Amino acid sequence: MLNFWKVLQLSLKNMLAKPLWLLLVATVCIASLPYLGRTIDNLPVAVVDMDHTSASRQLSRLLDAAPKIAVRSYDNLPDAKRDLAWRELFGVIIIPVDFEKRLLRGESLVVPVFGDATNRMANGQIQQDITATYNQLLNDLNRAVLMREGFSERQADVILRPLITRLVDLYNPGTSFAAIVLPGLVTLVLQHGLLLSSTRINLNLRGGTPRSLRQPLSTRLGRYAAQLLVWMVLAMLLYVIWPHIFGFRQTASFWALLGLVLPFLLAVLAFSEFLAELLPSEEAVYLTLTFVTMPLFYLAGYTWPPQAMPQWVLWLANAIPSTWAIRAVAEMNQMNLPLLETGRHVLVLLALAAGYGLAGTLIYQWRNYRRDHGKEPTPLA
Amino acid sequence: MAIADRRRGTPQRNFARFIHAFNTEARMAARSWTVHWLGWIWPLILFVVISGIYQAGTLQDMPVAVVDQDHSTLSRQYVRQLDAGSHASLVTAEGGLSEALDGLQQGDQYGLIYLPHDFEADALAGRQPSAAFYYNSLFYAAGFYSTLDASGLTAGLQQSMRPQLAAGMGLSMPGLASISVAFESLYNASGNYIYYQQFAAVVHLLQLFVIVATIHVLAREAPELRASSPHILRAKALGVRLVGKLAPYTLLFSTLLMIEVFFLVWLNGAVIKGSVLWMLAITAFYVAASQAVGLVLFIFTANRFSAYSLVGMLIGIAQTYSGVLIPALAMPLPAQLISHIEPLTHALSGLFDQFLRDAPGTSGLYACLKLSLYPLIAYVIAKQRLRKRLDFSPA
Repeated sequence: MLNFWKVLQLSLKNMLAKPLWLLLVATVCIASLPYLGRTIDNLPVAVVDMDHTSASRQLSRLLDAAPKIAVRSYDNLPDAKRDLAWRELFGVIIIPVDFEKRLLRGESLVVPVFGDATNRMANGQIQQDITATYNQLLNDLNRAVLMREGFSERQADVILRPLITRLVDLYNPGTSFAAIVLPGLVTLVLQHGLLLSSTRINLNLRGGTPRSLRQPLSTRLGRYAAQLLVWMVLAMLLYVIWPHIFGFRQTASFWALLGLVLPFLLAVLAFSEFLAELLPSEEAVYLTLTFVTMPLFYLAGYTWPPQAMPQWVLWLANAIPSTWAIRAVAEMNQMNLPLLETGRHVLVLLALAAGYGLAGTLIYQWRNYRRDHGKEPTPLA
Repeated sequence: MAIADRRRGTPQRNFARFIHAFNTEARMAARSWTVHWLGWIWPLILFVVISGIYQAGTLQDMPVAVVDQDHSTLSRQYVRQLDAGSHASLVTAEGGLSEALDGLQQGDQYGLIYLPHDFEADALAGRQPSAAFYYNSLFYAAGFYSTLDASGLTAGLQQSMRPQLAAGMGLSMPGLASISVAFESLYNASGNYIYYQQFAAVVHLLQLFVIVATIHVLAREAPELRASSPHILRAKALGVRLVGKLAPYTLLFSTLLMIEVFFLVWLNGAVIKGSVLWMLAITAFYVAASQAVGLVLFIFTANRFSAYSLVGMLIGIAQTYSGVLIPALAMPLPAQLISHIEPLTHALSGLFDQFLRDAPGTSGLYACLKLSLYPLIAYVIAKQRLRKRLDFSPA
C-alpha cells in the first residue's frame, strides 16, 4: 500500500511537471473555434434574375429571408458559375424569363437550381430552404388564383394544403454543427492523449523483462491511479466546463457524465496495457497510434451511420472504447437520456476494460513464463 | 579565372551532392522496416478500413419508425409510398409512440413518422391534418437523408386530393401554377460520400504519415538516432543535401497517394473531371508542404517524441479546419484565416477541383503555388536552425 501511494505521488508529480496535457486542452480550444457560430447561417447563394418582375423580386427577397441563405444578385449566369467554381458560392438559382407571366397563367414551371454538392451538409441545408421558399411563393400566388375563382381564403388554404407534413428536427434544433462534431472530436482527442501516454508508460512494465526488473502490482496500480486522476479532471473540463463556456447544448449532469467518463478511461487504460504487450518499442507507439484517431472518428457511427457499414467494420468499431463513449455522450448530453438509459454503453465499456485487462495480463504472464524458462531471449523494449 | 571556374562548377557539384544524398537515403529507406511501415503498409491497411466504412457510398434506406394511429387508406398509402422511396426504410413501431421514441433516441432509427387518428377523415373534411416527421438532426447525415422523400410525397398527395375537395365545396378547380425545383447537385450528383469524405480522409491521413516519416528520417541524423544511419546532413551544402535526403520520400508518398486515388476511382467507377497531371502536381507539392511541416516541427522540438506528440495536435485541427466537416465560408473570420494556413485546405481544394469540379484550369496552378510556399519557408528556417538542432539534440 505504501508503494502504491509513493508511485501515485511520484507519477502525479512527473505528469504535472511535463504538461503534455496542456497540448490536449489547446487542441480542443483551437478545434472549437470554427463552431463558435454554432449553426450554419447565411451561406452565399447567387440569384440570377432574368425576369425582373415583382414576382421574381419577391422570390429573391423571400430567399434572402431564409435563415441558411444569403442572396447575392448576379446579372449573368457565367459570372455566377465562375464564383461557384471558385468556392465563393454554395449555389446558383436562376429565375427564368417570363417567370411571373407563366405563374399567373397557371403553367407548370421548372426552375433550375445548381448546388455545390461536394459538401453534402451545406448543400442539404440550402436545398431545404430553397424548396420551402418556392412552396411559400407558390402558395401565395395560387391562393390569389383560387380566391379570384370564388374560393374563400379558408377554402383556398384547404385546397392548397389538404394535409401537411411537418418536419421536426430533434436533439439538435437548428442543426448545430458543434453538437454534431465536438462530442466525437473531444472523446477522440482524450482517447488519443491517454492511449499514447499510457502505452508509453506501460511499455516499461510489460512482460518478458528479467525477474529482477519486474515491478510489483502496486507500482502498476499506482501509475494507473495517477493517470486516471489527471485524465478524469481533463475529461470533466472538456465535457462539462468547455461546452458551458461556449454555450453548447448540454443536458447531462456533472455526476452522470462522471459515471460515463470513469468506465471510458478505465477501458482506454486497459486497452493501452494490451497494446503495450503487442507494440515493440516506444517509437512504435507513435508510429502506429498517431494515425488511428482519424479513422476512429468516422468509425464511431456518428457522422456516418452504422447501418451503412459492413459487419467487419462494425466489429472493429465496437472493439474501440471511444465508439461507445461517443454514443453515450451524445445520448446523455444531446438526447437528454439519463445515465441509466445509457447503461448498456457503460456496461460495454466496463466489459472492454475487463477484456483488454485480462488479455494484457495473460500476455504479460505468458511472456514472463517464457522468459523464466529461457524461451524468450531478450526483452523487446 | 579560377573563381569563375569554381562558380561554373557549383551547379554540377550541387547536383552531385543531391544525387549522392538521394541515393544514400533511398538505399537506407529500402532497408528500413520503419519506412516500409509508414510508407505503404500502415497507410494501405488504414485505406482498407476507411474504404470499408464508406463502402455503401450513398445513404439510402435509412431506418424510420412509423406510428400509424389511423390505419386508413390514405395513411397506408402515405406509408407505402414513403417506403417505396429510396431514402427511407420504414419500420412499424408495434409498441406505439414510446417504443418509436426509444428507437430514435438510441440511434436504431433516424426518423419517426406519426400519423394521427382520423388522418384521412380530417383531410377529406378539410381539417388539414398534420403528419409529423421527427428526424434526428444530431446524426445529421442519416437524419436529413431519411426525410428527403417526404416533401415530394406530400405534394403528390395534396395534388391528388384537390379536385375531390373542390367538388365537395361546389366549385370547379381552376388550373394552378406549379413550380418544380430542379435541384441539380453539381460536382457530386449522387451525393456519394466516397468521393468527398473518404477522399478527404485519405488525403488528410497522408499528411500525417509524411510529417511523422520526415521527423523520423531527420532524427536519424541527430544524436538521438545517429548511430543507426549514415550522416548525410553533416557534410557541406546542407540545403541541397537536405533536399536530396527528403526527395525519395516525396516520390514515395506522392506515388502512394496516387495509388490510393487510383483505387478509389477504379473501384467506384468514378470519373476524374479535370487533369490527372494537375492532380499529380498538387500531390507532389502537398507532400513537399507536409515534409516542410515535419521539418519545422523537428527543428523546434528537443527530441522526436516531442515532435510526434505535436503531430497528435495537428490531427484534430487539420480535420476541423480543412472545410470537410464544416465549410470554410461558414466559419468565423479567425477560423477562416487558420484554415488558410493549413496545407491540407489548399491540397483538398486543388484536388477536389481536378477530381470532381469544373474549376478553371488555373485552379491547379494556384494550389501548387500556395503549397510551394511551405517548403520555401521551411528551407529558410532549416538553413538557419537545422544544423544547431542536429548538433545539440540529446543523444
